[in-house]
Amino acid sequence: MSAGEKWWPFFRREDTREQLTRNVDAEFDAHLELRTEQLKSEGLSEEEARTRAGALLGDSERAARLCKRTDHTWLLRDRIAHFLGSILSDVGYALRLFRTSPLFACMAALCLAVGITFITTTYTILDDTVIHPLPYEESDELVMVGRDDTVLIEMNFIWSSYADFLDWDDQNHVFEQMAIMSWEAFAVTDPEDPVRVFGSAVSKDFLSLLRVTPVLGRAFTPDDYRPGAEPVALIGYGLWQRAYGGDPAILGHRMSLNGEEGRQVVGVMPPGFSFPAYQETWTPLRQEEPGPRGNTAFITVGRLRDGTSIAAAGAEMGQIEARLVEVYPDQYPEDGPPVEVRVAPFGAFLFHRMHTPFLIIFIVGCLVLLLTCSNLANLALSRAADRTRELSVRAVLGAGRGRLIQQVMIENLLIALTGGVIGIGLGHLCLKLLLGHMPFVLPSYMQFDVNLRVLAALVGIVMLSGVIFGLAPAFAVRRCAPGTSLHNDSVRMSPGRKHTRMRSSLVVLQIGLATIILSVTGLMMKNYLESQARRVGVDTEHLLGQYIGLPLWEYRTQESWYTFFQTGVERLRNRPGIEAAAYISQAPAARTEWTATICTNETAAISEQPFLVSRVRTISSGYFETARIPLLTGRDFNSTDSGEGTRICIISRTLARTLWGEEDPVGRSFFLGREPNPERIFQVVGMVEDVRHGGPGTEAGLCFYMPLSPAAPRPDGWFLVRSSGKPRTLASILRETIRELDPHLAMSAPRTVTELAWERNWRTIIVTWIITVIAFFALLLALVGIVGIVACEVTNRRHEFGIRLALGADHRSILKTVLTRGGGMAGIGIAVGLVVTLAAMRLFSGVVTGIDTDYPVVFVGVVAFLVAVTLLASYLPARRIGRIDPVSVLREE
Amino acid sequence: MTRIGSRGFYGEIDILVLKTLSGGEPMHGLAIIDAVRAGSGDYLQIEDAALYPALHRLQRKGLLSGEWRISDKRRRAKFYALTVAGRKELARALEEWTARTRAMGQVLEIQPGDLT
Repeated sequence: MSAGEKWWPFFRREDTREQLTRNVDAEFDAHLELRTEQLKSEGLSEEEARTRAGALLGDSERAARLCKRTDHTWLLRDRIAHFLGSILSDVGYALRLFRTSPLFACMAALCLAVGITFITTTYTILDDTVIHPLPYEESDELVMVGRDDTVLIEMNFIWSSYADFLDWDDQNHVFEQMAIMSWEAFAVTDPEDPVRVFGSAVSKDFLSLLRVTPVLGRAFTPDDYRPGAEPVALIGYGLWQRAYGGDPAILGHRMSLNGEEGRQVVGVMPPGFSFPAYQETWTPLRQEEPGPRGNTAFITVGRLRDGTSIAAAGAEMGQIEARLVEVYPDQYPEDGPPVEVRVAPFGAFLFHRMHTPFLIIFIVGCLVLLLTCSNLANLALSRAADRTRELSVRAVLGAGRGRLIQQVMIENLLIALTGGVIGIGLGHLCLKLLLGHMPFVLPSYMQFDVNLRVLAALVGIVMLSGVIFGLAPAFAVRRCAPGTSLHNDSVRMSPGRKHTRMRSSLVVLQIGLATIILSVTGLMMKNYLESQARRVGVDTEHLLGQYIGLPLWEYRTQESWYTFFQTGVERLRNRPGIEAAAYISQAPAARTEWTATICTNETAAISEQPFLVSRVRTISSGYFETARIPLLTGRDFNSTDSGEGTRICIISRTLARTLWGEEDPVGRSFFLGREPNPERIFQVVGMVEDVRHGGPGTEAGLCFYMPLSPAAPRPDGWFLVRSSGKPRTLASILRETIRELDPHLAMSAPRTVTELAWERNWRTIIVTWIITVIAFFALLLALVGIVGIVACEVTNRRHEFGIRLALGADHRSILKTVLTRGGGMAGIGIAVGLVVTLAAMRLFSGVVTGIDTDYPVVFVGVVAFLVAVTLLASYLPARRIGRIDPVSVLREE
Repeated sequence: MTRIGSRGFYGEIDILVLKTLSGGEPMHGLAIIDAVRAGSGDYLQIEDAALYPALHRLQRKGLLSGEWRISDKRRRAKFYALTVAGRKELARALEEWTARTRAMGQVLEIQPGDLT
């Protein structure tokens, strides 16, 4: 390799593959010629010499092939090495540059880190809920099958009966496997501190369908399902840690579930496994009889065969169900709604109301990242302008355009990577903080881990953002033709038209993005605040509840249930610190529900339907006082109401209005069931204010309260106590009192009503928290970005303004020019942003109920803010320029 | 006369080429072949088809440099010359070659009876 070849790779001669090939051929030709000459000089004739030379050369083709292969391999290696070397040298150059001007690099990296943080947070949530909602193998094949019943679907699952399952499993051709499971509450009483957990009795194929195996021990075998087999159970990892201290000796341990002793633990499931939602104990479902078809207490899961669509599965299940209705007409209620089967993707169903909000926060996250990128592009653009001279020098010295763009791109990618690493780390931390400090229990399928899949996507996004914000300076480099900039630079003029245009489009883009982000976040926050303003209707701040499920194997009579709760309430009332105590069958905002069908004999009263579905609650006397629900008319229950025979109730305002309009409901009566039946009559003794049992923001709905009586008690319910201060302080005294009544009772953790409401709305709350943080930072980024970019634009025109001033323009006209321009850009940006927002809202409004476009205050606020910011950002530097002496500006060159 | 082809001892051609070029004068392929033959008293003859792949390999390793020139017979030919790295490699190869032939010689002389 000659010195020139070594030091100046751009001038290498044997550069291409074809050239190398040609050279090898030429070399062999030359050899033949030389040999012929040589032989001729030894006295051979031309003809003989040529033949002889050919013979001497031998297998020239093979030799040439070897030579070419060697050369080509070398060329490839050389090129790769050269490319890597150029990248390395660019990285080195960029690092030296960052060291000399660290401010730009730091600002840019931090700025990007903010954007990446949001993308990390929102994308991880999106990935965990929408893209890969279930942590199981090929989880998109998992579907839920059940009756299409909207009331029950409200509880996030589609329910089915065991009889249906048996027929479906037998007749379908669309599922690889089907499994059915019940939803149980188990009292685990063998640990020292008995616990209550959710559990499930599951059919044979449950684990193989999910493709999950226990981390310890074994799964259920067909033997476990034989009648008379030894009772066994699988337990969740969390329960194993919590109740048994993670002792491996748990295998073979006999646990007592719901009073039934000697159930052998055969396996521990992996951490995080809680199928279908909160479950921690699984037992074999041993049901010998199909049972009634109306008993929809089960969840049926199926795994679709390869290539079967959900629609196809739904169609086949519909046909099967239609056949069943024909074969067993007596098993379906005649007056009930037509039975329809629904097949829904399991994962999507868990989040069915949250897809759009999660998608929206991800899109908002993307927009924030785009906003950061445009901020950075502006920053990089101003720097590129400063660096024009340096780049031009390099261009003059022979660096190609591609080479210069490569170098600028590498600088940007380095910044992007730094920002990306910080951002991904911060995002992960944010998620951990967000979830770690949730004041309530999340279902365990919410993991929110930044896993490899998510990480790969994030790194892609980081690189992409590096490229995006690097585009503007790269374009600036493209125009760095050798010579011109060196020339121009000596006379400092206003930036060229192209430069100005790029910068104004950046301003417009930024204002547009800010408009979209702020409007969307503003609307979502306003909706949340509005729904929170529709309060539960009880004294949430001071109420603590403890759920009790009495073990039926110990409390065998209804009498004993009544006594337990009645004595409990009386004892609690006398405890210090407890202002009031009461019993209610389902606490406000708690996840359980109890409804009843009612009707009246006054046909005119109930508008069109022959009957109504209303919530029912059993309460002890003093409940309304404890929860601070105002009694509107009539009276509260008193101790004499618990006597048998009297069927009285207190109704909610909405129920009273629905039944009898504005008339006084006291003294009127209605019937339980679909037809008036004198045996099931209820007389109204009072009317209370509505309570939103579904949590804040939900519809209050219909509700009536029955007194707790020995005739109709329930084996479960809530003790509700009111404190004067923070309700949490009552937790220990509440538990102690209950322990006095029954020292072996398994109890779940006490909950405040606020927590219950949160647990019911955790999806909305997560979205709102994230939106709030995003909105705050978007505001900040928009502010910084717009001020920076507009101020920069004005400052760049100093020279022009100096000349204008020198030519006799007054300060006022300069200010007017600047403000008009700023206002114009703001106007275009805001208009575009609003149009996009409204169009997007229109698109989403059909899908999501959480966003209501009919709220001009948000839009007006956003527009006012952005216009003010833009005008202020133009005004301040313009005023400064207006004040200066034109001569000094012109002398600056 | 012994022909040295592509199936000769490993490195034979390489060391011959390096040594031949160590005079400092750039040479084309045919000249190298002739020089080896002359230098060995017409005993060693490098095959034409074996020489060129070796030359290219050595050039791409950076031991030789190649350049197109007009030969004394007024023909264009590719001339090879030893680079600095090539000179170092030659020194190393010579040392190894000497050691190896000495060792071979010792072994072969000590047990001549075994070879028959």
